[in-house]
Amino acid sequence: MRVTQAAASSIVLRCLLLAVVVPAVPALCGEYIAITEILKNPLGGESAMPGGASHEYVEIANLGSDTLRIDSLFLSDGVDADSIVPWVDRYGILPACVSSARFLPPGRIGLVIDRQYDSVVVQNPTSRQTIRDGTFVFTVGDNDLGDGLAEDDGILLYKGTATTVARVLALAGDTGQNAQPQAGKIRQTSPGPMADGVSVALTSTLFGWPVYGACPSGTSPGAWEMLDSGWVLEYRLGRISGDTVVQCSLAVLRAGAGAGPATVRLGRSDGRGQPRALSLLSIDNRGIAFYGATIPLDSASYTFAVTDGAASASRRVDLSTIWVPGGAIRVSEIFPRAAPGTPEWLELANTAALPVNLVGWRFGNSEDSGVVSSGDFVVEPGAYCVVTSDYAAFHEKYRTVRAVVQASHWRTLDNYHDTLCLWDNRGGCQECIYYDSRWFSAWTAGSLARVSLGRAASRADNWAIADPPSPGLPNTAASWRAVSAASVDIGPTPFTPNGDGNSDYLSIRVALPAGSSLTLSVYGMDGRKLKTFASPELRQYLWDGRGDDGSPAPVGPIFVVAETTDPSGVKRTIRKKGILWR
Amino acid sequence: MHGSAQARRLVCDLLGLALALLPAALFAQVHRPFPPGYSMGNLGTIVWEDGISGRQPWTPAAFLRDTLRFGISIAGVDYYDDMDNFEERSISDAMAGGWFESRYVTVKAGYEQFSALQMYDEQIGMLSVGTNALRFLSVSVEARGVRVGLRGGEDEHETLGELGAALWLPRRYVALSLVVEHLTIENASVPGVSSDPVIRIGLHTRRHRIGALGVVCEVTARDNPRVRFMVGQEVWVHRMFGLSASVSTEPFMIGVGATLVWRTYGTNVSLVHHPVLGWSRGFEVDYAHR
Repeated sequence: MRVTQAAASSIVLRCLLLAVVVPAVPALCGEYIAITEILKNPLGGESAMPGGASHEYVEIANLGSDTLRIDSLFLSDGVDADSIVPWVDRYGILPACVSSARFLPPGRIGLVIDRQYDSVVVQNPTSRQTIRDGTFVFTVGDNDLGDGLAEDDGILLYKGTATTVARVLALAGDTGQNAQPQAGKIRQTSPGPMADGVSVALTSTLFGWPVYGACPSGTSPGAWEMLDSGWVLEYRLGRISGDTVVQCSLAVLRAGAGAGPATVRLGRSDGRGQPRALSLLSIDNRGIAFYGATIPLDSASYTFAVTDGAASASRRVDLSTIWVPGGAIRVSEIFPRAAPGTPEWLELANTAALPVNLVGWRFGNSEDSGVVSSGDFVVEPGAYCVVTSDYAAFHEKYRTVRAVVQASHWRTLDNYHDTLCLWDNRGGCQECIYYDSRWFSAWTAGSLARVSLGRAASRADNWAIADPPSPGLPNTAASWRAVSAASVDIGPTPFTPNGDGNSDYLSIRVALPAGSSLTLSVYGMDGRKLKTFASPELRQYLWDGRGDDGSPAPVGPIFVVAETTDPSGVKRTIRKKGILWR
Repeated sequence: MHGSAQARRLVCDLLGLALALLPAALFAQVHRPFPPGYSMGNLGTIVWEDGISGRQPWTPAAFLRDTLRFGISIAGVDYYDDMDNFEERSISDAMAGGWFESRYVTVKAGYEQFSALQMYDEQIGMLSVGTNALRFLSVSVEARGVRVGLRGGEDEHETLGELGAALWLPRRYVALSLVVEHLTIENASVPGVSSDPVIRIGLHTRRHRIGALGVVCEVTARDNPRVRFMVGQEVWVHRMFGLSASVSTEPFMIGVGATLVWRTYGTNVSLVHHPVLGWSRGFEVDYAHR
């Protein structure tokens, strides 16, 4: 629709009008129409071929028990109105769909497409959209659907005339607006701008004001994802009681059939335990049945299933999106020093016994924050995942790491010191970490690995340099830096660096408290220093029996000397004896 | 009586020669940080040609100018501190040897057994033959046979031979020493067994009533030559009892020693400290016969 400046109107008047209009929807028993999908940005933009404005559409669903006649049926964006008329398949491009119809039966999906759609498809068949068979196809009286849909256009579906509303059937827009054809532009700002080729889809309608989100499959003309075997199932999670149970409301609608005898059961998704039947609380005048349940927080997801003997459907209740144990997700490794071909990344660990969905989680600090994922991204219990700024570059570097997501918005990590917080999708701060390059004597490469997920992540003694990094895997630092006292083990004794593949290296394994620094040297029998190992501290050093100058070290006794310095400056020396032979 | 004395003298000469020709070692120090015995506490800086210092079988024959005919010595060294592994297994050195001196020829011979952690052994035999026929110069040549390897593995041993030479230029108050060691005759097939050649130049005051002072410069010939300096001082607090102290560079070490001499008997205990590896302990017992 044309994007024009909305006429100035009083907010009070808008609210009053909405107060009259919105309650009118459920008041019409048997008539329940929903705008289920709107494609505002087809692939290729507004004027490109294929696609463009000719491929925009509005999808509606008749969820009520009455047939919807399209006489006097209009779409409006608040500025202009288009009448909905039957679509004639002049070129036979949609033989499996229902065209030329003047009605939409109960339980069926209707698609209002642009008048130019068929001619464009004929010219360029590759631009054909996949419209589900059996869809009732309509179009508008105007040349273009809404004169082209803008990103923030809302849609009003009503009965009446081009200028007057007799009865509102559905509204896809922000709350608190004056939903009239000429009362000013109706806006739909949630879920925000969509990428080309991604439509806005109805995600919730049974509990009142419709809620829209990005279509999970990009576009799905003629199909509504919420409709499962003729059922629409929704749930709302309520108050959490004592961190043990959550109140849940279930809404069930048999699309096109109204309320009827149905059995609703609730059980754990993993199949443990017996599903229990739920008691019906009420049925409203749209035919929506409401149930109440108390769900124990002992599983990441529950499933409720509904059946009326003829058809059945189920819906998973994802508890991880609403209930996350405090501090379940921990930052376990960070790679702030990006290099060519290696983007910045964060490694997160799920320490809880439940899967956690990171959709909507953010990371950063008060200055700036990034979004971990705008779509579902579930981290299994005990698993690690990586959030990176560049998925392709990360995957090229670490091909074996599976659980990787490119942040919807990356917040650049500071190379030297930074404070990072991790917020869940309800804004709760799950984690706060701090790191400082001054904690480490030689941080030239590698990542910072957290030593202990159970200790505060803002302490010097809980971070260690990991070189090479270990994204997606448990940190080795957890095993060799989470100690209270340093220790060194060497072997084999004797070791024989003669190239025969047997005991060719002296293994020097170190366990070092995080925050402590290490100087590791090898001395010969004559008391001279043969070899000095450079920082940073490693879990294991391998010595090939050569001195710093590359010459073979003398055979005989050798001494491995580790000098450790803890954060308070206290030094300790560990000395080990060995034998070198060739 | 005269004949009996001659016979005793002959027996003593033969005994001394037999001791000197033991298939054994002198002057060991294959990769050792300091010499053993009396020289340990002063890091080889104090040399007095007519006493326990010059009589040590593990020093060159050129360093001995005594009126005594022969002698024997035993010594031992326990290297470095107990460390954080193999606490019950030490790194130690034991050696025994003797010397015989006639009017023109001095012969020293000795044997050294080095053991580390009960896994690694070195057996070193050395023979040093010198002459002090000239009043202002003594010279000697040394030959050493070294067998090193892991204990218990017959095929894990290496044998090599080395030559050395020493000069001793005594003057009224000081003496100059020049020693060349580790000139390999037969190189070991295993890298790291053969030692790099060493040149050691020393300046040593003659022993007097107060004591003696010595300075040694040691150069190890290799691609990147190493130079080591050692300075030592000995003080005799009594005609029978002396103390010594010394210091070296590369590696930095401090040595102290105590020597007790009674008639032709002598004994010494020494300590050497390495700042990282710790203390080494040594002793020597010496006997000489006229």
